[in-house]
Amino acid sequence: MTPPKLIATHLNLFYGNRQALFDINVSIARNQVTALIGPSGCGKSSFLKCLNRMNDPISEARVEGTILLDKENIYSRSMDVVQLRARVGMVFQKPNPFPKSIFDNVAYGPRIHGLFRSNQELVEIVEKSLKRAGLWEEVKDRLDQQGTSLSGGQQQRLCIARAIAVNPEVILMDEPCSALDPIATAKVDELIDELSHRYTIVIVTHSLQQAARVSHSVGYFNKGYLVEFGETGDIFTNPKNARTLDYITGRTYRRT
Amino acid sequence: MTTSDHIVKAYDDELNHLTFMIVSMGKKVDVQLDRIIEALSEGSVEKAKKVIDHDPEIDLLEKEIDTYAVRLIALRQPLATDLRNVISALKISAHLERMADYVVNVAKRTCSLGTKPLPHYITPIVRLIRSVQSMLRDVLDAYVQRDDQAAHRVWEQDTEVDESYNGFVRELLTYMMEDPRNITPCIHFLFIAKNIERLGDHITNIAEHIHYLIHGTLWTESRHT
Amino acid sequence: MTKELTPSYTLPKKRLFRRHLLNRLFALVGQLAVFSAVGILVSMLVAIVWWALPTFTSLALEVTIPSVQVSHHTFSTSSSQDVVSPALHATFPILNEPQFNHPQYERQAERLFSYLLFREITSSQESAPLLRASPNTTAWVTASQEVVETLSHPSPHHVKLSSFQKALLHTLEDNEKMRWQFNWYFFTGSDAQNSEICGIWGALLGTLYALGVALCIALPIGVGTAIYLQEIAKDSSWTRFVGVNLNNLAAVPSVVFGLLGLALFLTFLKLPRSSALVGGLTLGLMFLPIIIVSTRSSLKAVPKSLRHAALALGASSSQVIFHQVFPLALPGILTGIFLGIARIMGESACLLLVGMMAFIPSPPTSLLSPTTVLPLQIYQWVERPEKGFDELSSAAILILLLLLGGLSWIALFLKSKFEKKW
Repeated sequence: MTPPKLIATHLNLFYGNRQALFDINVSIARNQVTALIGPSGCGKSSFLKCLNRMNDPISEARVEGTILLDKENIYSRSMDVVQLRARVGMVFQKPNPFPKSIFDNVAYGPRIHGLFRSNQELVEIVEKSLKRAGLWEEVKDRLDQQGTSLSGGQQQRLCIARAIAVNPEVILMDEPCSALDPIATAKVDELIDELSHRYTIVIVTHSLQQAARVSHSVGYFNKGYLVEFGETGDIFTNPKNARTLDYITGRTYRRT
Repeated sequence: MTTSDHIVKAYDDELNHLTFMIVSMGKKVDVQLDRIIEALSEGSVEKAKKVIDHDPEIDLLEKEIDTYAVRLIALRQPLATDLRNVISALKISAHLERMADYVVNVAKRTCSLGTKPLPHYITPIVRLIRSVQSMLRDVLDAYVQRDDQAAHRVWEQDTEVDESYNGFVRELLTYMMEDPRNITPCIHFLFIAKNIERLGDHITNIAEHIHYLIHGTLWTESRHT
Repeated sequence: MTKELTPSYTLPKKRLFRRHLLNRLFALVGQLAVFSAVGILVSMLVAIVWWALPTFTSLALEVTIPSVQVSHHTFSTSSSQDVVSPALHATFPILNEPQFNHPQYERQAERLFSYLLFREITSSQESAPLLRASPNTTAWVTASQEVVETLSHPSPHHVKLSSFQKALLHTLEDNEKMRWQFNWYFFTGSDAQNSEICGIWGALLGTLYALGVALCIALPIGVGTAIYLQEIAKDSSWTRFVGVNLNNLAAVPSVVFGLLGLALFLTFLKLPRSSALVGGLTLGLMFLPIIIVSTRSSLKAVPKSLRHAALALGASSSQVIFHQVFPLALPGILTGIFLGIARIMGESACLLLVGMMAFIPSPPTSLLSPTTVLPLQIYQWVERPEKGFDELSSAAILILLLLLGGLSWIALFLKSKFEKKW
C-alpha cells in the first residue's frame, strides 16, 4: 500500500464569519482518481481550492488545520504558493484557454517557471503535454491558431494539457465536464482514466455517473461536512450514510 | 430502514409498480400451489392440466418484469438501494418463474399418476406443499415490508421443509421395500416431493435477495459476521 | 394518466388586439424619437456647414508690385506707406490722374485689401531678384471683409464701400484681376483683428500642446492607479472609498478643475498664465479620473477565469496582470483614452480660469508661451460683433467636430477590431 498523496487533517475553512468546511479529515490516494460529490454550496469546490491554495486571493478566507502533500504541510510558512501550484495543477469548470495560440497556451506554464533550456525542449514539452491530453492529433497542424477557436471539449482538453505541461503531481478538476456534450465528456473521462496512472487526480463533479465512471474513491460533502468517503463501488451500491443514500438516489433530504 | 420519497415522484411510482408486479407474480404462484394441492388430492388430471394451462401467465409476467426493470435502469439510472431494488426484482422474478415451472412438473407427474393416490401419500405431500406455501406468503410479505427479520425467519423455515422432505423420502423407501408394486407411485411422489423441496430452496434464495436488497451485503457475509 | 394538452380557453380577441396595437404604438413612438434626434443632429450639422462654407473661400485681388529701386534701403526701415503706395499706384493707374492724386483716394484703395497687403508686397519684393530687368511682378492679395460682403450681398443701400472703391473693383473685375480662391489662411493663420485673415493654426497647436502635456501627466499616473486599485490592492473599505470618490471626480464639473488649476499652478507654483503647460496640467487633472475609471472598467471586464487559469499554473500576481489581464484590457483602455481625449479636447470651462482665453495673434513657440485652444478660440470669435467672425467660428466648430468625430471613430475602431469576446 503506497502512502497517500494528500492528507487533510482537521481542516476548517472560513469565509469571514461563515464557516465553509468543518473538520475535514481525508486521505487522497496516490495515482488514483478521487471524486468529490455533493449538492451545490456543500463545500466540495472550496475543499478542492484548499488543495492548491486558490482560496488565498480571497481576502476573507481563513484556513485551520493541515493539508499534507507528501508529508509537507501546504499551509506552512515555508511552502511557496507558486511552487505549490506548479505541483498541484487545476482545471476549471468552464474551459478557460488564454486568448493566445494553442502552443502559447500550453507553453505558458513552462515559460513562467523556466522549465526548459532550449526552444527545442519547449516544443517537446508542448507536444508531450498535448499528446497526453489526447489533443495532439486534432491540433498538431494548427498550433498557431487561437486556443479559443477550438470546440468546448477541445478547449477543456487544452486546459488539461496546459496543466500537465508544468508536470504537476496532482491535478485538481472543478466540474471539468459540466459545460461539455456527452462525447466530449466521454473523451475527458477516458483522459482522466489515462492520466490517473501518472497523476493523482481530484475531481469535483455534479454528475454521479461521471464520478462512478472515472473515480476510485468518492467523498460526499454536505453543508461543509465530509459525510462519507469510500471506495466508489461501495458508495454507489451501498452507502453507509443515509444522507449519502438520499443524495445519490435522488431522494428528498432527510433531517436525521 | 425507512426510506424517504424521491424528488421525482414518478420514480417512486415506478419502483412501487415493480414491487407490485413481483407480488402479483408471487400470488399467481401461490394460487398455482392451491390448484396443485386440489389436483393431487383428487388425482384429477383435468385439474392438473389447468395448472399447466395457467403457467404461461406467469412466464409472461416475468418477461414483463424484465422489460420494466431494464427500462427503469436505462431511464432512471438507479443507484444504491434503488439499484438493488431493481436487481432484486429481476432475480426474484426469475426465482418465481422457476418455482412456477416446478409446480408445472408436479402437475405433469399428477397426470402420469392417473388415479387418486392413497391418503398416506397425499397427507405428507400436502403438508409439505402447505409449509412451502406459507413460506412463500411470508417471503412475499417480507419483500413488501422490506422486513429483514421476517426474511430470516422464512430462511430458517426451510430446514423444517427439508426435514419433512427427508422424512417423506424415508417413508416412500419403506413402502417400496414392502411391496415392489408401490415402486411406480412412489417414484412419482419422490419426484413430486423433490420438486416441492426445490420450491423451498428458491424461496430461501428470495429471502437472501431480500437481505441483499435491504443491506447491500450478501447473505453469507452477514451470516459469518 | 396522460392529460390532454389542448388550451382550455382562447385569449379574448379584443384584448389580444389591444396588446398588439400597444406594441405597434410603442415601436412607432421609438421610431419618431430616433427620427427627431437624427433630424435635429442633421439640421445642426447642415447649419454649421452652411455657415462655415464661406470661410473656406476668400476673394483675392491681383496687385501689381513695382520692382525695387536698386538704391532702396532695407525694408525693415521703410514705412508701410513707402511700400504700399507705389504698389497701389501700379495696380490702379487711375490714382496717378490729377483729380484722384490725393492720399484720401489712396487710403480708399488700400482698404479694398486685407491687412496682408503690406506683407504680401514686401515678401514678394524680397523674393524678387534685386537687379532684375523686368519692371513689375504681380501678387494675389486677399480682399477685405467689406469687399466680400458687398459682392456677396449687392444692394444699393450698402454704404461700406464708396463709389470710388466700387469703381476700382469694377476695373479689377473687368481686367480679370479678381478671383475666388481657397482660404489657406484659415488653416495656417492665428487670431487677428480682421476676420479675413484669421486662422485656427495657433489654437490648434495650443490644443495639441495642452493635450500632450495632459496625456504625459494623466496616462502613466491614471493607468498605474487603475491597475493598482483593480488588481493589486486588496478589496477593503478604503479602496472602495477611493473608487467611489474617483467615480465622483470623473463627474465633477470642469470649472472645479479650472479653479484647482488656477490655485495650484498659477497662484502656488507661479507658472506662466495662458501657457499650454498650465492648460495641459489642468486638463490632466480632469483627465486623470476619466482614465482611471475607464481603465478600471476594462480591467474588470477581463474574466476571472483567465486570472484563475494563470494563478493555478503558478503565475505570480504581477505575471497574471502583465501576461494575461493587461494585454486583454489594452484595447478597452485605449478606447477609453481616446474617448477621454475627445472629451477634454472639447473642454473650455476649466481652461477659461487659467487664462487661456486671450487674444493670441501668433502660434505658441513653446509650452510656456501664451496660447489658446480651439474651443476658447471659437468662443472668442463668436463674441466679436463683426460679420466675418460668425462664419469663422462655424468653420472652427466644424473642424473641432471633425477632430472629435475622428477620435471617436478611432475609439470605435479599436473596440471592434481588438476587443475579445468571451
